[in-house]
Amino acid sequence: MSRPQAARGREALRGLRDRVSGASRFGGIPILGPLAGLVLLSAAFSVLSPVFLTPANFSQVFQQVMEVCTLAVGQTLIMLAAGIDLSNGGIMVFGSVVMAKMAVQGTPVPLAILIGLALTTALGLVNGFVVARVRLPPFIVTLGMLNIVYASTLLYTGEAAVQNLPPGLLFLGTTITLGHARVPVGPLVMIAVVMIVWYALTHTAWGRHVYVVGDNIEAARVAGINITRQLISIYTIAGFIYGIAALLVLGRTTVGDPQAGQTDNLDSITAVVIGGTSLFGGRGNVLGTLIGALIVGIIRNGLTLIGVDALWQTFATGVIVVVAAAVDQATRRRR
Amino acid sequence: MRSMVRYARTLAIVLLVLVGALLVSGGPRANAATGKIVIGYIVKTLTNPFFVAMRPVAEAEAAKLGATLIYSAGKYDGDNATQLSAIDDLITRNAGAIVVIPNLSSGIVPAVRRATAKGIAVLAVDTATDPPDAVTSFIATDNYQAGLLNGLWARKAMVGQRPVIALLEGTPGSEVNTDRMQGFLNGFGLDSKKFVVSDLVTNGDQGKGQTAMENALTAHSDINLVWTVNEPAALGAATAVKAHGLAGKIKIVSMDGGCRGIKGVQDGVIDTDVMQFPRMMAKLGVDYGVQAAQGKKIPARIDTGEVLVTKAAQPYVPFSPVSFGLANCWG
Repeated sequence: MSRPQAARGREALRGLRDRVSGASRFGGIPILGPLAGLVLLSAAFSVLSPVFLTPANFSQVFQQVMEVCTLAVGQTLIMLAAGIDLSNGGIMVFGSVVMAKMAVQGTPVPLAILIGLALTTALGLVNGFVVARVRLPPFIVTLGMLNIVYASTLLYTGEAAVQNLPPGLLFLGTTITLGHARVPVGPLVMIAVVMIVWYALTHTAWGRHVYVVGDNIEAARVAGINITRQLISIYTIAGFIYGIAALLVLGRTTVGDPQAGQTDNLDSITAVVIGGTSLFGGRGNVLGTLIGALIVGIIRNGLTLIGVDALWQTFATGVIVVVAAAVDQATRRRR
Repeated sequence: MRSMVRYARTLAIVLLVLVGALLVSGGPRANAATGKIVIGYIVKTLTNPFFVAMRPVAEAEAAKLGATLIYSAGKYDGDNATQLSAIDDLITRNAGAIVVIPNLSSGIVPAVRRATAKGIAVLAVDTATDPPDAVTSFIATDNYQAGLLNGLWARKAMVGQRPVIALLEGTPGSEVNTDRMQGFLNGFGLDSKKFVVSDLVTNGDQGKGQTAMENALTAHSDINLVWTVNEPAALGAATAVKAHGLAGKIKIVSMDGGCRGIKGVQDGVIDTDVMQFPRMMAKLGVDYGVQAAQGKKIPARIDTGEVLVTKAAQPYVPFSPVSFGLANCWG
């Protein structure tokens, strides 16, 4: 590399590090937009429906979004690195039916869970490997993986749902009593996943590297980041997160359903985009993803409670995605 | 500061869009505070003609009885998660009763139990839950009986030939699919399994039905009887049969009772169509739902009827003529 090139690389990197550390340190100003949106939406719905602003309803909404939100956390990691994952829902379902069927056939529940988690993590690793080493576009890789896992799921289950699951598998669907409140366990796990990933992204070198790789891969290379290892680790960790989502789904539906989650990949992208993460990588916030998932859930829930036709909920969600992406584009161009 | 203004602007646009969507959709309907009974009506998908036929009947019946109907659906055939959420939201909404056509008979049960635990009657329509007694009432065609009629007809119609049977199933594992197929096989005879050469999956889709039939005919050109789970599968199979130049040589039995299927019988494209009566299911679903919401006891099982329509009557097999089919079909 020539000296001017190296100098330019260092310059770009310096600017990048400042931007990234500033943006990611507090979870950044960027989540203010989605957060305000969430608050305003909630306010609007609480006026329109007397039952919206009740603990029971909110507990409901959290349970309804926990599957997609958890998938979206993995999606956030991947999209921050300028990738995309179309296979997350499929991997989750494959993991869930493997856990379910093994447990029903006599495998001890903890072992079944571990095997399921290992499976989803391994599938994430495969995605990462093909993206990073074979150098194929993430869209293509994960699209292929989606079809592979969907077919595998149907083959493994004989296209029938796995029923009569041992209660040990369903613990993420249960409710525990904390003081006066009955708190569902699943959403607590969802929030824990969000917080752990948030911490990793904002307080560890690995997390900073995720942003750098997504924002400017050349600068990352110049800075000495092992791109291949970084990408593979991102997709692998995402795979593990999808395994947790598999447990959430088992807890909520109490069956291992091979037909589940078919729109979850797009729903997770919706949550990530509404939450302020850029489609082009390098900017974004996993807290924003949580808010994005809640916004989608609240729109659906609120509009149902006031009696608006289901199709308008889908319409409203679609419009908001476009608006959120447009905002991202506008602020990106500003730089 | 500028970014704050930008975000405020974005939010304003978002809210305007939402308000606009609300206004365009007619705004909030009556809620529980006005004292009207709220009946939830959850179907499998919004686009399947079977459910499209139900909707106006359900809404009219609710209006007639002075109840509010909240209609929702899964996003795709098999979407259990959306239906679970819909039931939970209806519970929050203090619905008086919930009518549901489950996408996954076993998967919907947790939400059903949550509803019945709160004293909300749940009526399963068209498709049973698993276990079937999780609901307050089950209103449907007797799918086994329907299959049986087809089996009886087919056995008589095949007298003098050695049967070579292809089965075009719907979605394996689905109650509806299992009942219809088992009914057909039992109606055909205790030995029917040995005549089956081809057993393929169509998911009740016409395109897949055509593909399945094409593959079956390529593998076994001597097929002379095809059992199909529903009309789209049958019509797809008929197209494949015609393309192979075998129209009229292969008997196709089906069920649903949609006008497309009845017309198919009339045109000789398919041989039988056992009718279901979705409008009756919708009407009874709302009727009994309102009664249950008012605290009355409702029957646990209601058979809305199954009538075999064909141009080729067979001895001792009950049937109705095409004219009956045309008068009562849906879609």
